[in-house]
Amino acid sequence: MTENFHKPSDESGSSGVRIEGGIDAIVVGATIDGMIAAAYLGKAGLNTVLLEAGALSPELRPFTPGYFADDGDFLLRDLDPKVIDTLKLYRHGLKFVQRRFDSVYYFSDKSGLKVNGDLFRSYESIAEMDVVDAKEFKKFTEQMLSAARELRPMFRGEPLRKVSKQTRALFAKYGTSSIDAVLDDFFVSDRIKDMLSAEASLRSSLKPSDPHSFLSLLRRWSGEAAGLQAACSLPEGGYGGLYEALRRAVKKAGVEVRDGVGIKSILVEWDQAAGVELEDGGQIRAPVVVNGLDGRQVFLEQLGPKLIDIEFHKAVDPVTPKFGAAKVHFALHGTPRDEKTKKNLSRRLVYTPARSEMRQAYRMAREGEVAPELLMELVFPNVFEEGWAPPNGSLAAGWLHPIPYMDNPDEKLRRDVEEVAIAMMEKIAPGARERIEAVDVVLANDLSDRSGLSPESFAASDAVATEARLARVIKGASGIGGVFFCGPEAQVGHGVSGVAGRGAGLAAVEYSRRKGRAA
Amino acid sequence: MIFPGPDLTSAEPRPTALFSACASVSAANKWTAINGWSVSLVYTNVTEEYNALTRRAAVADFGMLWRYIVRGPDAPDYLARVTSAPLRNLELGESARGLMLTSVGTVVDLIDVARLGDDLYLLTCSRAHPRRLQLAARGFDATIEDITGRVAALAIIGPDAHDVAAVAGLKVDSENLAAQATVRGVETAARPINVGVQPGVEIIYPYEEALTLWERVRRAAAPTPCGLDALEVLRIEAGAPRLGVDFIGADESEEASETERSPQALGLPHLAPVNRAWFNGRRSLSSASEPIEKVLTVLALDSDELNVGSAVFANGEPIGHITSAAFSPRLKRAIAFAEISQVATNMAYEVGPLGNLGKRVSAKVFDTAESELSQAFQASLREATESRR
Repeated sequence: MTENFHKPSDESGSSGVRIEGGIDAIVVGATIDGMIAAAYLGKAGLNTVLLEAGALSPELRPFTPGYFADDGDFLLRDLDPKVIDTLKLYRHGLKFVQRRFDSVYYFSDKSGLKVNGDLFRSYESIAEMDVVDAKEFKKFTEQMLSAARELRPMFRGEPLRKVSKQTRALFAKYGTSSIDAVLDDFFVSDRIKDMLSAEASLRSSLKPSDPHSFLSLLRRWSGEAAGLQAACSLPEGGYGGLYEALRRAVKKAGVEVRDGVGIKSILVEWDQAAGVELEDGGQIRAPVVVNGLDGRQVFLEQLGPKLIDIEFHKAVDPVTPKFGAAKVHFALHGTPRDEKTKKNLSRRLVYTPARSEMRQAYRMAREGEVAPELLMELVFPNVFEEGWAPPNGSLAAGWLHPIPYMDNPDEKLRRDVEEVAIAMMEKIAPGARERIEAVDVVLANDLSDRSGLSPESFAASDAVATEARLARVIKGASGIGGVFFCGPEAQVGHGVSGVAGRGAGLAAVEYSRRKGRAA
Repeated sequence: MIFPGPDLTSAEPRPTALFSACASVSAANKWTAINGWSVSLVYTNVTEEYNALTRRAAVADFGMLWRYIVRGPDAPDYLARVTSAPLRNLELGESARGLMLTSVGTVVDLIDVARLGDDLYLLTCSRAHPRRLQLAARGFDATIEDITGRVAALAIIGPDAHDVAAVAGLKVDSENLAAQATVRGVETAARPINVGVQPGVEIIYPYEEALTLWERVRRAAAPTPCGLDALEVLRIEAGAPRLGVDFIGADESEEASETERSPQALGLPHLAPVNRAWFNGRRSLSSASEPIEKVLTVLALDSDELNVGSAVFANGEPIGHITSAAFSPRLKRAIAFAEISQVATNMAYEVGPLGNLGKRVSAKVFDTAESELSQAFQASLREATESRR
């Protein structure tokens, strides 16, 4: 399939200094959102060209013989069901090898807590620990999951529609609260508090005591992957599996894909998009340009300050992030023999520092250091499908958070992260250190190098309200008609979602329709 | 005409470069603070100063305006972004008026740009705007230098202004072009300006030499020193709204509210032409669909009383209020800026207190230089639209 999918640039005629017309829409960047936007445009009957750039490779990356790392976001927490449905992704090969992970939380006092992936059904396991808090947990999850569902449009940067009186009251009471404050209102058990604050904090730049951090948990729980709210799902083939399904959808939609075609600038004529100028000096003319690259590249380099309003410029030129998260892959030799461990390998394992330790971790990360106790989330994809690790080995993959964010991290940071990752692994599985063959640490700058997107795109996410505001502003593209944006800043929170791609695609189709181009 | 409103709070205003010279000739000794600088309101008598401004020549201290030198290869692009002044084809020595706008098209300030060299421009504004100017500079090869406190600014205004400048030895070769010269060892930049409808020359020169040139101009032609109150009359007659008095600058208001005004609402659409090159806020202006609720307009009152704050009535209903007023010695009546409802324009007006407490006086719209420019600009836009159809 892949061979036919790509049309070499010289065959397409876009290389060389020439002007190419007759195209309705150009999508820049074969990111997940870029491909979604392209597929929507193609499905609407628009003659669409997708220029490949700015995407992480869908191929698994060998980091030690026999073991493979996935640079993309392979754990899906919020894949827009409308995208799955409209683009018929299941028909194009999207499969989930695990639709909902149960979780095991490991605490710093060496205790553990198993929680059902279906939060509504986690009463029994929590009751084993604390009956009073189990009742509160049931009440809490029911209330919060319902609120998260109603507030979902807000977390997707879309206008809110109908919100119940209860959710409105909850939002008024806790909308600006820290997750710490909210949990203190509901629970007595420190372990439940640690567990939920870890869920809110993972890959967020807000520490649990920061105002607005409660919304991070609601955003996390508003997501829906594989049709299940607040679940965590693993597609077959990881990120590459989703990517390939989207590629097929793009092809099916009749979109022409050109790889290796970089663009120098977006052409704007009298406040309207007019196409793109390619790196080789050629031009592709089109009235619609959808861009899936990061905001800095799109607006500050491809459009430039001579075309964007000052206030918009300020919004898309963010301050350097302070926190990041490291992606870690462990190559482990041998396979577990006992049933309990084997069963645990099919779960999501989370090392959960105490809240005081999390505060220290954020403080140290802000000062450029890696704390000894970090939050770590791991899954074992090789338990569900072959190809990730050799038959006599296991691959653990996940995130370590929070760490300092650096554009150009030194080797020391990488070493420190690796050491702490191994230490956290040891806390989850005592004795695991002996079985580790290799550790692969992926930092923001690695992902930037591999994708062409800015390293900031892979930093820890900002406060939900801040990101929602930025998403709203940036999607306006400074008022330039025909320019649509679906880069990382158009999304609230981290991870694959597809909402930005769908939004940009639909907006571009509507724009073309008004201009009399789309059916 | 750039004419900032007085400071609402200014405990101890600083002396401008010309302060001691102004103080020595000020019989009235009436002062105000603008942008933290001490500026004379009246020297002797407003009518005398006004007559000098409109019949001969008068000198004024313009040290209260903010001035920036913008230099670098991207200076024109930078200024074309941050202001709506038409800069693309500005000849050496030429000046252009414009507005500073937010991205939503509301007015931040009235500005003036003069091209002093190939890549050298002088930006004059009512307020400082340090944050906006700094933000706008990202991505441009241009440096912005605040010279406000380092220069003296002397304006010679009136029909004889150019003659007075020439007699004083200042080089003003052209009616339209700025010129740089050395007068008795003092480096000067003289540029033609318009204060209201009166022509003038503004001389910018080093702070330390403030008194040298002031004395030279005074001895050569004895122009009348003129304070802000007389200039205020010229301003209203010309229809130039005053920032901080007739409207609140968009960057100064706490939140987007009805105090923020579009160029159209200020009667200055010709200073932000949406049919020309791009500037900050142009896209919002050109796509604006919401009708303007209130507009600033100049009224001539059948009275010599200044009615700032009074209500404006049309058909007996209050439709707005007076924002600034002055007695015009030329018209022998009070003239005033009024903010009135757009739907009630071109009607017969009355001005007076709300309710039935006081006497109302009749008022009518006074055509100003700015309103004529605005009408001509809108007519050209309509014409262009019709010819496209």
